[in-house]
Amino acid sequence: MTLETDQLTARRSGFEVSATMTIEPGQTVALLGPNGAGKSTFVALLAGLERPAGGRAALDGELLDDVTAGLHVAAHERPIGVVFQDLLLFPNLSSLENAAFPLRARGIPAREARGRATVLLERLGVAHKSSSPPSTLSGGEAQRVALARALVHEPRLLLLDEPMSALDLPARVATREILRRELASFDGVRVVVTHDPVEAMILADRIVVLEGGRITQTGTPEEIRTAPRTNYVAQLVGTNLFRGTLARIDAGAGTISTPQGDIVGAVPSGWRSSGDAVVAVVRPSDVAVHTTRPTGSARNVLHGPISSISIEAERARIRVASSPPVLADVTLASVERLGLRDGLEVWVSFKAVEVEFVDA
Amino acid sequence: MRRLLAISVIATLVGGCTGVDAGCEFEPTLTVLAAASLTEAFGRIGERFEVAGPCVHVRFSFGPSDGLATQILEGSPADVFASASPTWMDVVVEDGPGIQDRVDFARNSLVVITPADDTTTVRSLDDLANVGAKLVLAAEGVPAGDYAREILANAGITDGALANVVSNEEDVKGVVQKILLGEADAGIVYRTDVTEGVRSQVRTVEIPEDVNVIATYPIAVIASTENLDQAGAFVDFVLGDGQEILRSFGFLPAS
Amino acid sequence: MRKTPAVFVVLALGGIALVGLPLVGLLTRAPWSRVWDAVSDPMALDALRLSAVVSIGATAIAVVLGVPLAWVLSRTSFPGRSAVRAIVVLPLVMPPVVGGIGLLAALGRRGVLGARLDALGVSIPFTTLAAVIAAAFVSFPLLVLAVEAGLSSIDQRLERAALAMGGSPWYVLRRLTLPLIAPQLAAGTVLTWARALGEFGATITFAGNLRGVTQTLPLAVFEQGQTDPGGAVVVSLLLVALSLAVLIAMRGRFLPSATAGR
Repeated sequence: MTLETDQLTARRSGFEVSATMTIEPGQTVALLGPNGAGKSTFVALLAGLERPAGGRAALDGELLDDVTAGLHVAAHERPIGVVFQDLLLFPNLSSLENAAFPLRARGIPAREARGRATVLLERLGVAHKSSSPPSTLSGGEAQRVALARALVHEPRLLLLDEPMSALDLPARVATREILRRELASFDGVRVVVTHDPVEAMILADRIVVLEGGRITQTGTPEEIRTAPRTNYVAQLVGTNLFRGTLARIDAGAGTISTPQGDIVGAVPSGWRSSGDAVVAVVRPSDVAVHTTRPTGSARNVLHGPISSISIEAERARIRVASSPPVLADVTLASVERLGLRDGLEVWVSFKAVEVEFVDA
Repeated sequence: MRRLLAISVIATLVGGCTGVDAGCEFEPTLTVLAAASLTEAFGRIGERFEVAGPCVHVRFSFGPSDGLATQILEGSPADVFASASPTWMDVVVEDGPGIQDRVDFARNSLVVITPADDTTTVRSLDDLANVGAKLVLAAEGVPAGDYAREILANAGITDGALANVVSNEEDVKGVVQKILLGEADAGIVYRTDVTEGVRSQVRTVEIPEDVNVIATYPIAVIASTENLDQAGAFVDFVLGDGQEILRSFGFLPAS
Repeated sequence: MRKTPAVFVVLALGGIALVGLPLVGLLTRAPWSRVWDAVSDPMALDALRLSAVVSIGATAIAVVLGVPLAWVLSRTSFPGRSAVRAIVVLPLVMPPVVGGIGLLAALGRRGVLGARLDALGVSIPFTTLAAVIAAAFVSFPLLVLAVEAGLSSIDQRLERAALAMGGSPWYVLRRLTLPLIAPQLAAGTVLTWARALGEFGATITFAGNLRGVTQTLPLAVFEQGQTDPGGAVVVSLLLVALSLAVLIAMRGRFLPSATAGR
């Protein structure tokens, strides 16, 4: 039950997404990338909701798309299940009817369809909401109904588009577990699309990074985390990565000049000369966050508004839009104590010795 | 009544009374309700009257005599009423505001008209009873409609002809229109309805004299008029110079 | 309750008077002693029966042709789309009598299509069908506009989602789209029916006026009004009662704009 795409391409005005990949069943693949990278477009391609501009796609050897041969299997004829970013439950149907929709649409008689849908809703813990319309469901309940709707007809390809983006924190935690469990027990090919690295790390066995319409890296979560290949990936998966030109070395410290700003790092003597291209890494746990300009000896003091706060089990990861942008890890207590929130202007600081150089 | 156009007379351009002219202190408007069949003739009469007469402006409301009578009963501010049959003048006398100076001023005969092309098979009055012929009449109550039905009865073809009626028009001009459009095979209208403009598009079939009906047209001043003098002058004009105009349009003299 | 400017109160009362006074007038002028006679008069009953047949027939035509047209206008794009939309709205702004002349020019004995039909022995003017067509012609735009508004208010991503769920385009239309626009479709249908019921000018021009065949209630009221205003009032009240009954059944949900998007 392998999903194969061969340069499957979508073209929008001035934008192109193209990817070649092979996904085996039995593993969950996360398509990870920033907004605008083309993830949702690619999902639409896989779902058959858009006609590709080029390339081929096949599931279990059966062609779904072949542009040169003029073949395109319509969405409703594909053995797929999809959970959309905004869920898109049908407002005129009850939860049970929503869940049963893929069966009824394929001609399964009503009684059998309702029965199978009920079993699924029970497994997901929302059977008690069977007769409720989607508008009355909480975020987490709606999510599970949408998941039931995607699974009920036993598809061979499961597509989840930002499955948890619409949920608040408590719902996210609960849903994560259900999602992980369902994905693990799903026989076919599983593709999760997300911009959240935490989501990707938790749900996926393999991560495919999509940037600007192209795959820039694939690997296990560990590989991605420890050996990021692009700035975005590094930023995303939890390391500050600065790529720039070495300028001015003196007394063991050098300035790295990046397009977005300068940082100062400890340069081993004789290691490099001015003008060399370098890559430096700063661990987020080494970055301190202040609400007022700090005093002290840290050579790197930057400031900017907080652009996001990602709360995890034991810590919070703060992304600050300074020049250059910086990721900082702080304790949950600090978040509260400092009153950290999106948009708040903060100072971040780290020492020159905390800047690690990696081979460029 | 479909043609509730007030025919705005352009006599002032020809040189009638204007406010500037020394003789006219003010120019009242006379409202004349007249049967639809009088449209062309009274239009011309109105023009001449404004030129010749005192300082007055005439506006007409043409329509079926039954409808016009009802309007007068409902309080329409009419000064003069010219009907295509005595019946509706009587109604105004009995149930309405009353009249003055009632005179019969013209008579009219009826004809059958058909489209000028070959689509119709109606060549004589009796053909109106042909199976499948489409006949258009004015509605009952409209003088032209009542006269038509009288003619059909006189000719003994009532049942056959009435079965062929496809539409009862609200006034006689509606019948003309249906024939002009070529939608019906035949219609019964007044001889005067076959005007110059219509002549080339219809064929006229004569109704034998022994079954034909002669319509008598009375005219009167409405008693509730506020323009008594001018209304009387208009009636006088119709009876005087107007007679020649009526003749030129095909009306018969009153006696 | 928000404070209403005095001017608005006065003008609003004027508005109520504009539509309310004629109704009050009808009720006061009605010769109540004659009501039963006037209402049971065969002419009135014939007209009532014809009006029911014509208005329902016209509405059915409008719905069957209008929903697909609204779909095409709303969901597809093709060259000349705005021209088509303008033509569809035309009967709404065209004087009905002009519409009647147009129908004759198309379907009359000498008409573009009518001449051919006539040669085959099919003649439309002066028939009940003609009355239905005339009523359908003038009321069609109301249906199309209402349904189009409804379709535009649907989140099209829902329809895409339904396709991804395995619904064929027909199934999606039946199970999702039509139920979602049901309020607008209902409102449009009622407006269409009401307009078809009241049609006069196009009917009398294209279909003519013949009792039992083409004389619908508006035509009967008009003809009666020529000689018997009192009787005309009574028959008019029949029409008003019929319309009121339907409007009450709709209970306030009869404005497309009010129901679009709930």
